Amino acid sequence: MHPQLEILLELQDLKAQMLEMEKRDAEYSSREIEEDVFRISAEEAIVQLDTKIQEMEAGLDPDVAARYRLVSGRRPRGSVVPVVDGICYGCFVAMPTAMTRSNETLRWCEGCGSFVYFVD
Amino acid sequence: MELREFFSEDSIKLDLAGKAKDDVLKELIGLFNLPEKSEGILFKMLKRRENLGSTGIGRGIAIPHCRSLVVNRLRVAFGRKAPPIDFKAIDDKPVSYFFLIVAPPLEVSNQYLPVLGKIAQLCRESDVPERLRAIETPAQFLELLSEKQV
Ligand SMILES: [Zn+2]
Repeated sequence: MHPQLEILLELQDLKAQMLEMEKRDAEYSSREIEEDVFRISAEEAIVQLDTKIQEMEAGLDPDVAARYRLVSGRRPRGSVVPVVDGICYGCFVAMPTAMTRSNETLRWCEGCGSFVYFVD
Repeated sequence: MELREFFSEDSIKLDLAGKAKDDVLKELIGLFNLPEKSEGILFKMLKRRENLGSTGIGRGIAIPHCRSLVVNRLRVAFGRKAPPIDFKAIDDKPVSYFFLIVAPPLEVSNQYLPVLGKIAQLCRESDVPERLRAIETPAQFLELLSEKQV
């Protein structure tokens, strides 16, 4: 796997975790479960996750960081999106068939601009 | 929706070999049959969640969980370890029973939180640790889930 893609993937997962921890509106939210069942402090967890996210963002190459900033601000689904059965889950458009399904190269979707990750 | 629907016999391992927290997490991840690189990323994410606070909820049970792009749908697994291992659980007791739950960040059917909630609910039942200790086959684990109707 491309090392920058690995950082992007981890960032995406951390952000998903943080966003979920912040949400209070769901019927049985992740925040509630984390606090009630696992007895962790959501506020402390958010601070820890945020620090880790900033640390990892600093590890992105400048050109990757530029696209990352562009797409993470614009796309609620995140800066890396999975491609499942050839479909980009950022914009639900089929990826060009000529594109090899490999995560060894860092690629993005021409449709929505997000980095893509091919899920087996 | 019942918990039973999410488990299959090949995602259940009643004789985990790992002797420490990390080994057991890796063994549980192995039940998903993911590519090696994905396993590594998932392990890192689970560890990050554990760093926020142990998922050991007491009475010998832990529910490691996280969201990760390396899975394309909700995945669950169950593992049992005898003798129990230290997992920094909230009651400081060692852990024998592990429910692993992983879902992608964008999940069409939104099953992750309900499933996590149901597993937590199951684990609160007073006879569950003893029942989990007594099962002898993966099929019996599935029967227990059906019987509990969670
Ligand atoms: Zn797209």
